[in-house]
Amino acid sequence: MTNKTQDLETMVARWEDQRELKNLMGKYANCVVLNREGELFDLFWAKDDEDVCLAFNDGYYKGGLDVSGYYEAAAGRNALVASLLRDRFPEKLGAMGDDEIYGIGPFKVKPMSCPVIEIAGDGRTAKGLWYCQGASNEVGAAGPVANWTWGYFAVDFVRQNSWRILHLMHVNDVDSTCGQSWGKPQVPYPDLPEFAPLGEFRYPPYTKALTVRPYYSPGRPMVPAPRIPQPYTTFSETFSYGF
Amino acid sequence: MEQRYTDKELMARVWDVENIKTLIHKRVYYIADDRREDELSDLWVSAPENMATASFGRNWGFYVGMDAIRGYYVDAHAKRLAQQMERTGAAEPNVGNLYAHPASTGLVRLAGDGLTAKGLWYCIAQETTALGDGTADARWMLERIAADFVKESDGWKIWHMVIAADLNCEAGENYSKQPVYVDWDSDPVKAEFGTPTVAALTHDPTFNWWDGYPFIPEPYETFHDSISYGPEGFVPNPLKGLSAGEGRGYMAGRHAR
Repeated sequence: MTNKTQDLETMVARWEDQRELKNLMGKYANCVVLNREGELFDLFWAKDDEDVCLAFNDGYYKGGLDVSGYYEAAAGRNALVASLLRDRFPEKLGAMGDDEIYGIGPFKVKPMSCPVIEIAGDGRTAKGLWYCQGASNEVGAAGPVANWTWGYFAVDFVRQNSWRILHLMHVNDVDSTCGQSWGKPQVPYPDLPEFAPLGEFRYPPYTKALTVRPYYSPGRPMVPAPRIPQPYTTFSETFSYGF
Repeated sequence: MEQRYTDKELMARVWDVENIKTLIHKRVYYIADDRREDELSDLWVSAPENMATASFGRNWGFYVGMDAIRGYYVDAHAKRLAQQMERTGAAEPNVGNLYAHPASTGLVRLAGDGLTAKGLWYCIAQETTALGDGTADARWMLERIAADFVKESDGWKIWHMVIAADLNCEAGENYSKQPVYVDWDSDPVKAEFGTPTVAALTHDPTFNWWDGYPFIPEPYETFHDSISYGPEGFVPNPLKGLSAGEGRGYMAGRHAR
């Protein structure tokens, strides 16, 4: 929201701020679809702020080392997937080096819609909430499997030289196999020996492992969406999407 | 050419459109939390003259006035949740239910006089309802959201809304295998809609878009009934839809069988 009592310059500046925040998350989503997780921390995060925090459904990574460690692990997993696909399809990929094949396989689509953005009165921070009707087409121990992923991106931003992510909560309600009802028991695909190393892959442990948001199940009580940002003057006055 | 608005007025209009989009986006999160009463209190009109003419439409007509809207949208819904709890034995409402109606592809037209606005969105939604046997009925719901907005003393508010369903099918099923002719009597959304203030088949999704309702908002200067998304603005399209004779005789063949 903007206050019509603001002067023209302020109205324009705050409109440009909210557009930059949308563009930032748009670039983030595009980097994810291109499997560029290894660059996300440097490109978009307030990397020198030790308060940075990345949350998923089952825990928080807190601090620069742990947050960047998660992204490095994701990039490492992408590289592992690519090498297994090269082994599986030697006639097409066998002659290619690791750099050439990096990124083949995973197709993680995270389109963000329904933004609600609030920029602090002091202009130093901002908050945004998006709905994400996405898909995670991943390669795992069963080979390529497509999942619907329905959930939220809830983000705190801090203004440095440009807007940067301070806290990012990406939580889903639905993470279930396409072509099957998420209201019925999921029928898993059988593991394939050529992708067995992916069954052994583990992301780094969370800084704080806890249920941030339980996934949907037919027995799950109603779980409120991440809170809608409200107008605020300075960050200490409002809630945090961080731990 | 003389400029109609000052720079500041133009920027205020830019923010008006942004704030209207944000209003509809907030509604998405209210729906996710099933905060229907709060939605009506926070996001819909509250000025008495606007409350009297507010409307909520679906494919089968319109509820008119905030009291009627509340009766359908809040009270009847609460009764259904209570009935669901009896069936499933759940200790609280909405156990195993999930509501997601994300709005995208926003198109907002702000009136030249700046007092009202019209908007149209598309929504690939889903709703999931627990059945009490450890499973749930998960459904895709594809729908258009059309709304008139009016600026009240505390900001933009929803005045008239139409949610027109195009498709409602079970998740995991091939929706191209849906029957061509919708059996309204077994449609759960129609059953939920009940008996509206003004009954009218506003959008028949048979053969998809033929009736063109809700219509795409065009630029306008000031609001008038003929462009309303309330019942006064609904005019059956004489050239489109089964009632106009389209369908190439399929319907007659169906009855003959």
